[in-house]
Amino acid sequence: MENETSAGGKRESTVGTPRWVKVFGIIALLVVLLFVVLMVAGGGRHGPGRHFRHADTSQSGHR
Amino acid sequence: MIMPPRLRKFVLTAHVTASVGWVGAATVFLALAVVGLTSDDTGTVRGAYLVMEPAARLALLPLAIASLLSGLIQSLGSTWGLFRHYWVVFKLLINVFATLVLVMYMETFRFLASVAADTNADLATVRSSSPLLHAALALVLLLVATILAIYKPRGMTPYGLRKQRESRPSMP
Repeated sequence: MENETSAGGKRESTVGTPRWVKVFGIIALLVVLLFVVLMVAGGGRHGPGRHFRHADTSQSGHR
Repeated sequence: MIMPPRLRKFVLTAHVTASVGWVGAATVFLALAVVGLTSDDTGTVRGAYLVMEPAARLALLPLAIASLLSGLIQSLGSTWGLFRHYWVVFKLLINVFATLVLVMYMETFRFLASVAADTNADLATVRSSSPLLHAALALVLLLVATILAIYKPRGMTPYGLRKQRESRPSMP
C-alpha cells in the first residue's frame, strides 16, 4: 500500500538489515516451517482431514 | 513503469478498499466461527457453517485476490517497487501466504457445509474450531500487513539499494 510519501527522498537509506526485518524474518520462517510441517503431517493437504475430527461422518457422530 | 498520479490514486483506492474489505470479511468469519461453536440453537449452528462456504467464495476469496493484484500493480507502478523495500516484501509475502491458505481452505469450507447439511450429523460433529483458528490467524496477519502499510518501516533490500545507486547521477 502506498500513500503520498515518496519512496525516495529523506526516508532512506540505511545500510545493513534493520532489526525489525530480522525479527520479522525469523517469525515468517517459523510460520512457514509450521505450515510445511502441518502439510507434511496431513499428507500434503491442508484440508478437512486436518481440521475435522470426523472426516467421515458416516462412521461417527451420527445420532 | 511508473503510473501517472491519477491512475496511481485509483489503484491505491482499489487496494485499500479490497484490503480493508478483506479484514472486515475475516472479522465476520471470526464471528460466524464463534456462533458455530457457542450457539445452542441447532439451526443457527448449522446455518453458520453452511453460509461460510458461499460467503468465502463470493466475498473472502475475491477480496483476497483483489488485494493481492491491486497491491502488485500499485507497487510495480510506483517508485516503491516490489522488492526494493523490506516492508513491501513482507506485505507481499503475507498477502500471498494468506491467499494461498485461503484457497486451500475452501475445501474445508465445503466439507464443513456438507456436514452441516447432513441432518443425521449431531451438533458436536457439525461444530469445528478450525474456522475460529484460521480466522484469528488471518486477522493477525492482515493486521500486521496494515501496520506495515501505514508505518512503512525503514529498510531497503540489497536490490533496492543497488537500484537507488543506479538511479542517482554519478558525481563529477
